[in-house]
Amino acid sequence: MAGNEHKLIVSGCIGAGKTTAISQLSKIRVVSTEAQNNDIQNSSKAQTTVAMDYGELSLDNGDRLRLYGTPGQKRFDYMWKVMAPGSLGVILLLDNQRKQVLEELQEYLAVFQSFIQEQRMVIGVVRSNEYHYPSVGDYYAYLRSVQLQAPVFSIDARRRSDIVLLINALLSQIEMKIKLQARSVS
Amino acid sequence: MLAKTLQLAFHGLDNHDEVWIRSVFNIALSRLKHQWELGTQERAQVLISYPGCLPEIKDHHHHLLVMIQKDDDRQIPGTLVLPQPLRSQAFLQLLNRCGDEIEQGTSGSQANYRDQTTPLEASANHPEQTAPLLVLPPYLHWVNVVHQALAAQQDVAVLVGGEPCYVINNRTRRIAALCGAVSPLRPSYLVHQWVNYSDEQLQQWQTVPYQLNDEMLRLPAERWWSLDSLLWHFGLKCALQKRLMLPPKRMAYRLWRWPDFGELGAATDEPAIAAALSAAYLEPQEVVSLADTELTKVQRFLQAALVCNYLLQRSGVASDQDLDELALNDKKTESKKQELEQEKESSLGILGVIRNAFNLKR
Repeated sequence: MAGNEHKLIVSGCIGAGKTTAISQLSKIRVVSTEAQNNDIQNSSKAQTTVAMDYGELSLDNGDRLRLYGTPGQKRFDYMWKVMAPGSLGVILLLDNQRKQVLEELQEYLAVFQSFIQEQRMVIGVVRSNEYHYPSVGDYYAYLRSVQLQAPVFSIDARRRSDIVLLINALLSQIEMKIKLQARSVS
Repeated sequence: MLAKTLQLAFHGLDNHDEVWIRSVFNIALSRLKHQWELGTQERAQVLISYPGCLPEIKDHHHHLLVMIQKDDDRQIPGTLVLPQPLRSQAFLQLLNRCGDEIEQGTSGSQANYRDQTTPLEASANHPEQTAPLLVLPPYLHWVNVVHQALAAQQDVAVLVGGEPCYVINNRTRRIAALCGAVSPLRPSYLVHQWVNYSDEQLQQWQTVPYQLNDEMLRLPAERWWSLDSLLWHFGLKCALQKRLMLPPKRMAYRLWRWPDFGELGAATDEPAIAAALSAAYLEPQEVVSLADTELTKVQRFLQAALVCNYLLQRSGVASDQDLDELALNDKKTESKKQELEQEKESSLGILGVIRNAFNLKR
């Protein structure tokens, strides 16, 4: 009998490293829908994801963890909404190089609000070593200003350990919520 | 209620403030009393700017002017004040007040927005939003002052022996050492140095507001280190030396933000400790049980978080109020409880299997 399937979403702006992050985790060769980037104004990448990236892992109990990467461009934002339902959680990658990064965060928060409210979202900020502003503290200040809470880490999407850190934080949040809920009803 | 849509515009705001206002404005539109949109300076009824920009604003009498300024700055007659640091509740309340004034045709009034403490504004002072400083031991008084200065968006210098030895850039939360400038100190060496100062020596350190000059701002990037990272490691080392006051037993803590493990690196169980502490006010022993870890690790974590000003605290036993927020509202029958327990075991089991796949088993 086939095992159960679990879904994890990696979202974020164009060029933030979503495809790279999924490649770090997937045990299969990542299925990518890359096309020539016609949005040079927003990113200098030659190629970019236009539909989704897909990777997966087989788990010890026969289940499968499916990893989906959303396209980064705003014009594909309908894909974010299509892909999110039923997933375990969302890893959001933001690029500190981008001038409107806080505004982009706001757009993602609007789409993934239910995930952040249920403590099923973590945020990784790339290139914060080169671009110090906004600082991680600024992201927290922003989240507090809109009364939301999520872990924010400065990461390098090319480092597997950084992506695994995001997974660890996401799983820890979900586990803690389950344990605290169970404790409150017992 | 006004039928028409009111327009808000900005003049001369720096990037940080403008992005903040745009973001909060867009998210909170539906919560405002009146209909608002962002508009041009020429057509907007409300214009947000700084006092220093007032001479540049043409036809400023046509606008309801809002000045972003610090609490102790003198209010300009005929303007409303949006206090710095910016807070969402204060901003939303200000827009509602502007809408009311325009509706009533009283926009020329000179009332001071800050004088009107309403329930909304009071809620903006809730610890969750403002993260009040917790009391640190006297030898860490300088750290407390650093946090206060950064909260007031000021650059600061730490004086050692009366001379500026470290400067901190508020915008980037990075610190540079001015002493030992010939050969830049490594962060780990700096932490080691701090830990080796006696309590009496550290107690004499002073923190003062400081204007970073061009020369300092041009210091190479490798001379600026993350303040949070230094304070975190300093807190951990102090805890290892049993130097900080241990958290009182009957005190409950909550994290208002996670440490940046991306920069600090994290032991496998530290995200679990952080997750527990950010979910509810908890006593150290409860964290031990929820995160399945050791008390000494939790205490070290708490003390480092204390030095970094990431913690909120509440006296007495952690109440179940926070936990109730997380609970389902209906009354649970015994069979329902069993069902929930099974669901819990099943969900935790799946998460454990996923942890295994990433070698994250604790």
